[in-house]
Amino acid sequence: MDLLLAVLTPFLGAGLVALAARRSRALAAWGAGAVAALALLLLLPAMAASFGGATTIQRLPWIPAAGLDLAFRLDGLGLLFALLILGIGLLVILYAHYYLSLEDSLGRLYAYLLLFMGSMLGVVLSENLIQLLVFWELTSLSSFLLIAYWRRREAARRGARMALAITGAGGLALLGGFILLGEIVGSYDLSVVLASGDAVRAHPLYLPALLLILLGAFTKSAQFPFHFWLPHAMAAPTPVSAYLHSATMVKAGVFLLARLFPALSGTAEWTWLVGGVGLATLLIGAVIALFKHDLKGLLAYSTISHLGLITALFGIGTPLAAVAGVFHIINHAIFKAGLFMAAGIIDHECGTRDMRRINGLWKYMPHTATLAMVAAAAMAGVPLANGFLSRKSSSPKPSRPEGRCASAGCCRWP
Amino acid sequence: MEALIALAIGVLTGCGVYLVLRAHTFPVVLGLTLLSYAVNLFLFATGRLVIGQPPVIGSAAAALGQLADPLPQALVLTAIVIGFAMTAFVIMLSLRARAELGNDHVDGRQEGGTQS
Amino acid sequence: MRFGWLLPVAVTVAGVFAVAYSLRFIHDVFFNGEPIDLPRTPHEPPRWMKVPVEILVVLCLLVGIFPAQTVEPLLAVAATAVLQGPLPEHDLALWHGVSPALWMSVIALAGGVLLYLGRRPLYALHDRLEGRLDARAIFERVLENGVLRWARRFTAAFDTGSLQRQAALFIVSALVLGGSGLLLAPAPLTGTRPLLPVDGVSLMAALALVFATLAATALHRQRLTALILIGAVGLVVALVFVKFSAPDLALTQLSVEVVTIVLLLLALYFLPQTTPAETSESRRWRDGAMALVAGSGAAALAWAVLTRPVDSIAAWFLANSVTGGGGRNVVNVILVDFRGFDTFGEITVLAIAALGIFALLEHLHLPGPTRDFHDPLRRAWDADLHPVIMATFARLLLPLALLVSAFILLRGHNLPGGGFIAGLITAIALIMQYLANGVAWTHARLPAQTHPLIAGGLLLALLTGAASWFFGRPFLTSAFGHVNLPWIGQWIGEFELASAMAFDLGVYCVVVGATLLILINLGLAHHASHPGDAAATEVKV
Repeated sequence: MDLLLAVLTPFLGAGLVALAARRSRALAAWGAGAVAALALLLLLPAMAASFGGATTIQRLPWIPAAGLDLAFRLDGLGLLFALLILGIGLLVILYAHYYLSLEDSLGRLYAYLLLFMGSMLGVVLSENLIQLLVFWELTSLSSFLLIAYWRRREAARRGARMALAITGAGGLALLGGFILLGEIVGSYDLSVVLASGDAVRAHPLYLPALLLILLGAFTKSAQFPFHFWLPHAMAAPTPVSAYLHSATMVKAGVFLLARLFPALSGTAEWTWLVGGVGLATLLIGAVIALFKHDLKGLLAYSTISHLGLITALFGIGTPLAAVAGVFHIINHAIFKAGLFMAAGIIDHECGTRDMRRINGLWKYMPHTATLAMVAAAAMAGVPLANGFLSRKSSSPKPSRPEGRCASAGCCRWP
Repeated sequence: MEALIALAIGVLTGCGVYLVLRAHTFPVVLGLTLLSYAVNLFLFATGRLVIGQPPVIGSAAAALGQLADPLPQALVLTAIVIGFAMTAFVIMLSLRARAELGNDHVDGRQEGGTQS
Repeated sequence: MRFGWLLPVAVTVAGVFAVAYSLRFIHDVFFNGEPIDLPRTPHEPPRWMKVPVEILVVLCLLVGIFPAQTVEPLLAVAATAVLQGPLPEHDLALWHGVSPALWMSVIALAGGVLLYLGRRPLYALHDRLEGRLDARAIFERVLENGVLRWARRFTAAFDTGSLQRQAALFIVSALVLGGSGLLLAPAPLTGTRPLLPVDGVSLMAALALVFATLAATALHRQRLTALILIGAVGLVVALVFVKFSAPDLALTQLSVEVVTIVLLLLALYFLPQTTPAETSESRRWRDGAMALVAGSGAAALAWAVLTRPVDSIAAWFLANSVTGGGGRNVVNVILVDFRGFDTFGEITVLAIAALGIFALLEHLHLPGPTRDFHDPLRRAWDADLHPVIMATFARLLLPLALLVSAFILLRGHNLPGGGFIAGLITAIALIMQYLANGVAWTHARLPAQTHPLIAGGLLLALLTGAASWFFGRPFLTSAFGHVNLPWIGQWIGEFELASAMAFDLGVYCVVVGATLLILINLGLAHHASHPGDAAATEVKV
C-alpha cells in the first residue's frame, strides 16, 4: 500500500497545492515541498529494505479476471530513481519559488510539477508493464503542460506540441513493444519478464519487440534522430528544464534500457542498435552544443550528448558497462540540474540567455559563478576518464581486478 | 406474442429512422427517442419473453431456471437512464444551436438554403 | 568485438567537444570582457535561490572526491537491480595511476582547450551552414503538410458538415452490413423455440403502440401532438416490461418517461412552434424507403432472436445472487455488485452528460415565445401561471413521494427498486414543485446544490468500490449483513445492509443530481429569457 500511496500523493497534492496558491505563494511552495517530502517518507521503509538487497513488490487486485493488477515494485534501480525524482524535485520546488515572477501563476506550475512527479514515480515503481506505460504517457502529458507553461508564447506552444508528438508517438510504439513482450513471456509482470531473458532473446518476435521498445526509449531520451525535440522544450521555465529535461524525464528512456537490460540485452541487435544510436547521439550532441549561443541550448545539446553516452554504455551490454551507465545517470542528474539552475539564475539576473551578450559576470555574481564553474567542470570531466571503457575494449577479460569504473568520476578537475 | 414484439420493434425502428433523417431538430430528437425504445426492447428481448416470473428470488414459486433472464434487464435498466441523458443532451444541443444560429435546422442553415 | 576501438575514440572526440563547450560556458559567461547591452544590471540572486545549486554542487564534489564513501552503496544496489545478478568488480577511486583512461582524459582536455582557442573559424563555418538543416522546420513541415493536411482531407471527404447526409450515410451502411448478414445467413429465419399464445390485451396494447408510433411520425410537424403520442408509446413500452417479468424496467421506464416528456415540453417552449414542410418530395420518399428497410430488418432480426432457444449465463447470476451479493432482486444485485463496474461507468456518463448540459446552457439567451403568442386556434396563454390546486397538491405530495423513493431505494436489493428508480422518483417529486410553483419559489426553498450532489454520489460509489481494497479484495467486491430496523422493520422487512447499499446510494445521488441539474437549468434559462419574472435571474444552480 505504501508504494501506491507514495505514487498517489503527488497526484492528490497537485490539486491541493493549486488551491493553496490562491492564498499565498509561500503556502503553495511549502505545500508542494511537503507533498514531495511525504512521498519520500512513505517510501522510506521500502527504500531501507532495498538497501539490504530486498525487492519490495506490492500488488492490488484491480481486474483480476483480465490479469490487470496495480502492482508496484521498489528495488535498487527504483530506489535510485525515486531518490532522484523526489530529491531533485524538492530542490526544484524551492528554486521555482524564487524563479517565477509575480505575474506567473506559481500554483499552476507546482500543480503540473507534482503531476509530473507522480507520473515519473509511477514509471520507476511499476511492476506491471501496462501500468508503467500509463504512467509513461502521463509523463509526456505533464511535460506538455510544463513546456507550454508560458502559454502565450508561440515558441512554448510549438515546443510543447513537438515534444508531445515525438514522445507520444514513441509511447505508442512502446505500447506495441510491451504487448509483444507480454505475448512472448506470457505475463506483464516485470519480475517474470526479467527472469525470462533467454526465452525472450530466442523468440522470433524478439526483434520487432526490441525495435518498438527502443523507439519508445529513444524518443523519450532524445536519442538521435529524435533528439531535436529537447532543445525546443527549453521554452519551458528553467526549473522545469532542470527537473524534467535534464534530471528525470529524459532519463525515463535510459531507465527503460536499464530496467529491461536483463531481458533484452546481450544480442548483436541490441549492441548495434543501442550502442550505435548512443554513439551517434553522443557525438552529434557534443558537436552542436559548442555552437549554441543560447545558454540553455548549450546545456540541452550537452544533455543529449550525455544521454547518448549512457545509452552507448548500456548498448555495450557487459555488466561493467551497465554499472558505468548507472553511475553516469546519477552524476549527470546532479551536475546538469545544478547547471540548469545556475543558467536560470543568470537568465533571471541578466534578462537574456545569449552568451554573445552575457560576459564578465564574475564581477557581478562571484558566488554563483563559482558554483556554475564547479558544475561545468563536472560536465567537462565526465566523458574523459573512461578508464573502464578503454580497458574493456582493449582487454578480453573485463573483470580483471584493475578493471575500473572511473568513467564518470564526477569532478575530475581539468 | 413474439410476432407482436417483433412488429413493435420493427415499427419503432422504422419510424425512428425516418424521423432521425428529418431536417429539424425536434423531429430528430423524437426519432432518437423512438430508436432508443426500439433498442431497449430488442436488448430486453434477447432474454426471450417470460410471463409472470420476474427475476426476484423467492417471490415466485418457480424454479430458478424458469425465471426471466436478469442480465438483459440490468443492461436495459441502465440503458434507459443513459438514453435519457443522451436525449437531454441532444435537446440542449438543439437549444444552443437555436440560440447561436437563429434556426432549428440540423445543419444550421435556414430553410430555402442549399438543399443537398 | 571487432569495432572495440570505436567507443573509446568516439568518447574521446566527444570529450574534446565537451571540454570545449564547458570552457565556453565558463569563459564566455563569467569572463571575456564586459556584458553587452543587458536589459538589467546583474547581481547575486536571493539567498535561497542559490541553495539548491549549492547542495547539488557540494554533492558533485563529494561524489567526485570520495566516491567510495558516498555513492558506492547506492550504485551497488541500483546496478545489482539492473543486472539482476552479481555485481562485476569495480573500483571508484579517484586515482588509478597512469592508465589508458588517464591518457584519454589528457587528450580530451588538451584537445578541448585547443578547440576552444581556435573556435572563431569554426563559428564562421557554422554561421554559413546554419539553417541548412533545421529539424524543427522539417518536423513542422511533416506535421502540417503531411499528417494534418492528410487528416483534414480525409475528414473533408467524409464530413460535409451536413448531419442529414451523415445520418443517411450511417444508416445506409448499417443497413447494407446488417442486411447482407441477415440475407446471407444459411439458417432459417424462424427458430424452434415454442411461441407464447397471444391474448387480447396484449394485442390491443401492441396495436396501440404501432398506431401511436405511426401517428407520431405522420404528425411530427405538429410538435405538441407528436410529443403526446410519443409519451403514449413510452407508456406502452413500460407495459411491455410489466407483462414480460421486468418490474424494475417498468418502474424505470415509467419515471424516465415522465422526466423526458417534461424536458421535451420545456424544449418545445424555446424551439420554433412549427416545423416547416420538407422542401423536397424525393427526399421524403428516399427516407421512407430507408425507414421501411430498417424497420423490416429490425423486425426480422427480433423475430429470429425471439424464436430461438437461449443458452444464457443467467443461471449463474440467479444461483449466486443471494449467496454472493446478498440480495434477492437479481437485477439490482447485478447492477450494484456483479457488474458494478459497468454501473459505475454509467453513472459517470450520466454525470458527464449533466455537466455538459450545464456548460451548454451557461449564458444561453433563448428567444422564448412572447406572451401574446396565440396558437393556431387563436387561444391565448393562460394568465394563471401556477394553478392553485396543482400547487397545493404538489406540496402535499412531496413528502409522500420522497418517502416512496426512500422505500424503493431501501428495498431495491430484494424487491423491484434500487438507486436508479428511487433517484428518478425523487427527481420527479422535486420537479413537480418546480412545475407547480415556479422556479423562483422552489429555488428559494430548496437550497440543495446539484453539482456537489453529483460529485458526492460519484465519490461515494468510487470509495465504496475502493474500500474493498483495504480488505484485500478486488475493486467493488461487496460485503453484506442483515439488518432489521426496530420500528419500521415491520413494514419494509428485514433488509441486507450491504456495502452495495452505499454504492446504490451513490447511484441515487448521481441520478437525482443529474436529472435536477438538467431540468432546473432549462427552467432557469427560461426565466433568464424573461427578466420580468421574479428575481430568478440571480439564482444559479
